Amino acid sequence: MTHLDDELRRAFARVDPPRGFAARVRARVAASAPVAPNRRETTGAWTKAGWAMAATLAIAVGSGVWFRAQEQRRAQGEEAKRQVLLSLNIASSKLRAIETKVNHQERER
Amino acid sequence: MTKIFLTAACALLIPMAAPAQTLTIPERIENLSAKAKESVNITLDGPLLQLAGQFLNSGNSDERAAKEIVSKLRGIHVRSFEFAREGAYTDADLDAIRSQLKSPAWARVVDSREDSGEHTQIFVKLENNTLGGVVILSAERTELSIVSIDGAIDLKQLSTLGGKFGIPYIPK
Repeated sequence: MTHLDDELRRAFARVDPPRGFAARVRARVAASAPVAPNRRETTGAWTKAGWAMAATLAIAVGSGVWFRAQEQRRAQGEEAKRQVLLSLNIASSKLRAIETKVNHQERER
Repeated sequence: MTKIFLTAACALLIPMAAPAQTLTIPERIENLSAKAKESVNITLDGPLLQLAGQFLNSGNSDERAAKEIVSKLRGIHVRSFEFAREGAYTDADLDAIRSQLKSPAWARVVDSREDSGEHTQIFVKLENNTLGGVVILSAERTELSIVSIDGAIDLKQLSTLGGKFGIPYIPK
């Protein structure tokens, strides 16, 4: 036990640092540049995200405009179709009415 | 030189003559809609007719027939009025149309007057020995219909549309 006690006492014995140790540490700290975050990498990441968002927005707006134009064209086409059928209805019924009259007059003769 | 001059003169005169062959609905007729109980006002020109043609379903026999007719047309103009009482329009209202149809391009093929006061006229336009348009004027006491179809039209095919699209079929 005594031997162990002696060894521990020697190992934990207070030892003064070498002369000028504190000054050298302060000088080393002052000499090293502060570590700053990499701005370029951060900016690049944000730019990519911005472009992705802009592209998504552009696709969304473009799709909306295209869809609306298609809807307008479809509505215009359906209305034109309705008008064509109505016009042909009127023309056809008038032609048939006059055809009937002419045929009737011919039969009377 | 003379040949070039004649060609240039023809090129200038043909577009000038073209509007005379296409019927214009006079303002006087357009104003009748204000007096009418019911009116139909349809003006379909080239692009709209093409668009309508795209929406006519070839799978449906009625619409296929209409599509075939429409594919050859340049324009359709319909004005149809139903008035509450007689005398809302006069025969003079139609004079502006009839005067346009006096040009050599047009020929009157039907002129039918009934005791009831009904007066129907059919005018056709010939283009290169084929029918290039038809105008139907149907004037009754309380009804007036003007149909102008511009373009190659087969009247037989048009009349056979009767009974289709919900038109009551009138037997001969």
